[in-house]
Amino acid sequence: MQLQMRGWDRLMGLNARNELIARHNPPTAVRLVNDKFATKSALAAAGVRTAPTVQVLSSRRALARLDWAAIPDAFAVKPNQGLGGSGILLTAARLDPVTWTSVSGRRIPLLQLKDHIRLIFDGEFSPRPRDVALLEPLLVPHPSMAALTFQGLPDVRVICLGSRPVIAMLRLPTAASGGRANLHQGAIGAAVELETGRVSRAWLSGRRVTEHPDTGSVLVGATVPEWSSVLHLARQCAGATGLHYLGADVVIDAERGPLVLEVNARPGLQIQNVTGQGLLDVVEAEVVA
Amino acid sequence: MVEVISAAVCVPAATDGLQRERFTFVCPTIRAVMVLSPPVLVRVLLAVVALAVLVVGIVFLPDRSVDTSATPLIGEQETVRVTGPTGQTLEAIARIDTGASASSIDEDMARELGFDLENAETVTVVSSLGRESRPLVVGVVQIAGQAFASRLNVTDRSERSNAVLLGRADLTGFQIQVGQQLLTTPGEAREPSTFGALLAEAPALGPLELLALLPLAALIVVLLRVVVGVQTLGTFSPVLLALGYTQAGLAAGLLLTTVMIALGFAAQPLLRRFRLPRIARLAVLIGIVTVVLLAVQQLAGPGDTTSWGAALPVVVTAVILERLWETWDLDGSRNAAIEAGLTVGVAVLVTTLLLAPTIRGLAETVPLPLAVACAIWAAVVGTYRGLRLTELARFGSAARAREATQAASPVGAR
Repeated sequence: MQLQMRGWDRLMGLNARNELIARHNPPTAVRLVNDKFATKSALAAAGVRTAPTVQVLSSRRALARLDWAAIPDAFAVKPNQGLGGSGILLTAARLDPVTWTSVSGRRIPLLQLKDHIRLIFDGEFSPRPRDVALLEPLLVPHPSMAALTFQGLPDVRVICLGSRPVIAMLRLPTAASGGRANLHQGAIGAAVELETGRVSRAWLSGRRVTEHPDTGSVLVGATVPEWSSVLHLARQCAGATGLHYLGADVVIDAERGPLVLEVNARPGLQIQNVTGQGLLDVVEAEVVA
Repeated sequence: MVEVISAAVCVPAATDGLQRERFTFVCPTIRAVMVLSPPVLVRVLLAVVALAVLVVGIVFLPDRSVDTSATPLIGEQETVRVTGPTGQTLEAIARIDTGASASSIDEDMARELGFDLENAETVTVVSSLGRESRPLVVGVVQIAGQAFASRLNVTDRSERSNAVLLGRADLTGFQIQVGQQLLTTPGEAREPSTFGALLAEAPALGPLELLALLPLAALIVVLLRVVVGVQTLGTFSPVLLALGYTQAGLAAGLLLTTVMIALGFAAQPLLRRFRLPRIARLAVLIGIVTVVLLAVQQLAGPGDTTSWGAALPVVVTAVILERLWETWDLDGSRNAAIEAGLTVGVAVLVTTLLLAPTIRGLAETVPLPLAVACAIWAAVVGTYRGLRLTELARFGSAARAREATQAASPVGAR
């Protein structure tokens, strides 16, 4: 009976997390990682591999002057200070100089692209009334992970304390999540053992699962490719950005290998449900006092 | 468990020497706390139960009995009962006006009570509007536990904020407390209960009391967010809404808020369709607020302080609508609707607590200590680092998994 009531004891809630972040993450570093372009510059300066940037568009004039022929056929448009994954537009292929197709096959004319970029400029997806648009080449998942995901880009979320990774999970898009790797939008969370890179446990919308609902492939036991490189990248993020408690999102591109996609100053707490471990179990030395 | 944890805490982290001093200083305290610490689950539930007991206790407290010496104390507005010739009784909030020599009643109310206005005697009344001849009726007025026959002149008071006005002729034997309202109920010289004050349509709190109660309202909001985990649109907007409700009356305030939130929901798809940029949407929002405000003014007619009281919920709801649209964009319409409901719910809860007799009494008698104490409590509660009530449910899956691993590997592990 005693044991049953103590299950919540080492779980980190929002109150504890906010205190941890206020105590350990300097505000300048938090501002840095909210700005995707600044993050990429800081990571590149520290020698950490990230997704390359094709173009930065900061004004309507720059948009008008853009040479669309020089843009790769498959690319992503992102708001620089976008919240979560909002405002990201992906193109998979080019039909003609002014038309692309999306990942799901829908036609995207140039006009729609320009409209979307203008929305980004007006701060539609950002906390401020203005923002800047980033163009990056489209990242494609590593072939060994293709069976684990449905139409999106899976990523590994590694939570680190300084240069020490403490807990990690793989986020796998599903049909329900619309190809997005966000847990609360319906993606699968798969706990990854830090020593081996092997998936030990998978969790979807409140229950444990063993297979991907859309592809049917078995999740438990799968291994993340190039795991030691993934961990190595995660270890370097704290030094590059100045954050102490962070969540590094690492993707494994088919062509370029492991890349840091994003660094989060306020990593989510759902990882506790995914891994079945309390965050206070692994970071207690920092939280207490 | 105690030894392992305290040992883990007190060993300095190898990667960060700066932490060393802080740990050794804190270690003795931690050891002591760990020995006494009950499970988190119990702590969270106890905190919430204590909060609920406090709230229920305050809300359902019996009304205090005010000193019923020979001269009862009444305020600038009081609830009265007027009885007509047929025995028909109506309750209304009367204005207590020592500047008026005689008492007055609204025409429609007099008719409803059964007075025959055509055949009544008339009286010439000199007022700021000049001399006029008004019907005079005699009705039984009950106020603060006293009942007497009153000569009431009948006039059209539909444009005024009170249907009944009591003048000097009927106020002998009362003490009038300027700056206070609703101190009594008609039957006796007792304060109205929480719900009586809630449903009254007059401002129940003066400006000084409101100021003193602001930190208490903030404390309640902090408790609800940090211990219970209630997510509202804007952290302190329920407090502003509650302030508006205490001035405008709950019914009017809630109606205004509901209408505006409904408008906000309806406007969103239209704004999306026209792809208005954010600046334009805010302009539309200001337009909506102004239109509603003007409409309210037209309907309410010329009043006095009650008009600004009605304005406050409208203005605050405008702020809330902006957050509503943001939440809709980020999390979907269902979450936005839930948060809007919670915001209004918390506002109603805060209003209820502010109008409870004991709390009003505290604000009247010890405003400064109350404000200071609540501000300190709010800061202290803000440092709570445990789980929230909503998180107990959210992390139930992780809790069960942890129990399972603990059962599998006991002794020596955490």
